[in-house]
Amino acid sequence: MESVILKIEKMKTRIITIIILISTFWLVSCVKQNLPDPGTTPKDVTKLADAKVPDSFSWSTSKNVEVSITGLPTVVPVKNTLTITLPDGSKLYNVYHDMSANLKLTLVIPSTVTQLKLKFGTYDETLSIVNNKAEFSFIPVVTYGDGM
Amino acid sequence: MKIKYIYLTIIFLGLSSGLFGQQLTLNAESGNRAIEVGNCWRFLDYEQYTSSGSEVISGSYSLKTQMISNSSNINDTYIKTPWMKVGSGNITFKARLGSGTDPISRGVRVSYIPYNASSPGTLYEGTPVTFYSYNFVVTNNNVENFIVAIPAAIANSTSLYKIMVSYLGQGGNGRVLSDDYIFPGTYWSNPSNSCNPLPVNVPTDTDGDGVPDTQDEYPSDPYRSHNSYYPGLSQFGALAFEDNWPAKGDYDFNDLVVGYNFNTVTNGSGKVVELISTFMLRASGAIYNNGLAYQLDGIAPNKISKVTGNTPGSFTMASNGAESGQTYANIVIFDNFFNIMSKPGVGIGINTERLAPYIMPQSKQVVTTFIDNGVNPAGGTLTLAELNPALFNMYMIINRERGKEVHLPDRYPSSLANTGLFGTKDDSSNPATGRYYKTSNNLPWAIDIIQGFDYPIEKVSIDLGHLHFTEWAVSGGVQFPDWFMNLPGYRDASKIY
Repeated sequence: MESVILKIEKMKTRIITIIILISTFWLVSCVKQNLPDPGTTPKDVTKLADAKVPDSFSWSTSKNVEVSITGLPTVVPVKNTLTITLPDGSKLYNVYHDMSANLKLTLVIPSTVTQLKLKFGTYDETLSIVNNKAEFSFIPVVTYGDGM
Repeated sequence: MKIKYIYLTIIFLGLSSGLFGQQLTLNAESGNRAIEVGNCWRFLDYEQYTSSGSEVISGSYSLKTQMISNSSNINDTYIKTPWMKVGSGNITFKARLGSGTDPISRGVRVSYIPYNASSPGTLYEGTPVTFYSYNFVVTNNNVENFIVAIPAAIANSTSLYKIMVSYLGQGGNGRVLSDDYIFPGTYWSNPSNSCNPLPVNVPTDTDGDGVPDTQDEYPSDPYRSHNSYYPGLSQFGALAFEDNWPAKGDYDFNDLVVGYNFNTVTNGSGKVVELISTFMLRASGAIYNNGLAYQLDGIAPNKISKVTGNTPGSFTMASNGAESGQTYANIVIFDNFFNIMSKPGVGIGINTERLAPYIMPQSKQVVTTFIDNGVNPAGGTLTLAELNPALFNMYMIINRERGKEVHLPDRYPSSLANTGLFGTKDDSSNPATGRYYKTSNNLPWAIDIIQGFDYPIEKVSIDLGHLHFTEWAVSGGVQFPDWFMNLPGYRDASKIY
């Protein structure tokens, strides 16, 4: 009889424990939205003062991009405004340019930018940045037998 | 007046080169048909120029069609000139049949194409009018010299035309080789405008700088024409400094915080006229009286004509406004932040402590003039490509001690920097290896955030406000390149001013 009572007491304890666990889980669930997003919270981040940073790191949020433009040997001098912009239209290089001139220039742009836009007369080109370089030629690509 | 001079120059150059003014030539000697295509010649069913000894008619290259076996009309295989004002006399060229088997027929037709302003869908080309026909003797592979009189209907006309030379044929697999085309007339296409005709009327150029008003950002100023911006129009990058160099500081990067924007102004010749630099003074959580300057790396001081708007204080400037004693041009923007923005009297400095009154940021514009009202500087002029933003080496001068400069990591010090401080205290600069302004752990005393920056409050290390800053640095910039942005989980706003 005594053992039956003990078993009932143990059962009660277990039930209470389970209820407490469920309640705790429910409470935690309620406040979850107020916790920091685990995906964007730093994990075991070293303090800056103790950080070991790569020698080559520039501490810059920008990058230098070398732009190379090949001119077209024109029959007559052809001048127009050459504009190179960021994709958002920010005008970085804007000058009256002779189409026959070859040009190399360096632009400083945000490190996350992967394309530049080039305009010259009716030319409206997108230049991809590969290994911090972008290229464009006014000499068109011509294939055999095309309409050109 | 000046624009007329330029047009006359163009005409003279064209005449002297034999390519413009009186005749257009096509002889393939560029070796690359794409160059002619870029200059508005058009080809259909043509190979790349041939340099084969058995095929070349004259010079090093000749033109070569693709196989002509079923070309029954003038639009199948052709050469078209650019738009031109046709002259008088004869069109001449050489052509012959290439090797091939069993041709039934081969012929040549010459046509003119009138300009039709109301037909953009056909690239303004009207209906071709054929005015010359010839049929080859298919068993004869000799070069034939063609002399084709220009029809009176188009000779010396003020209207625009293209001339089209077409090759036709049936049967076999032979090609046609040709060379030395001469078309009397004046080149009138614009390669930068989809090969549409040049404007009939000279574009308005009020200031006569050679740049049409429609493209001139200063249409009434003969000395200026275009603006180029860094980091962008009306955009400000941010510089943030620690001023305890060569000892480490507290890394709050607010001892001097300034925004920067540069507008490089060029003239119609593409030369740099002036560099308009605008600095937005935002904060200085410092006891020291810190200054700001920039060096134009690699640019000699005598490239500058004058500097206006700066306040160099007691630092010594040369007569052209650049700093004396420097190998490269150095412009001192201001010698003391607190002479421009006054301390509120509460807290250490300005705009780094919330309990202290906020002081409105001050804008300071400094103009570095290279070409002064059309007069070149003693050291000569610079192109826009030669004065690019990668050369703008901005730095802080600590507490008006001229030799105590703080540059961005690995940027060169000026000639007036006290090199005796390199390698002292926490600095591990090594000029022999090009290492500057970094600790032994590669930590900097200055950072440049091109997209702008919200700096920390006083005495709070930057990594406590910008929560991914250290990950960005330790990863060499690979992780969280956008650490400065105000994104969820990126900041502790309580630690940012």
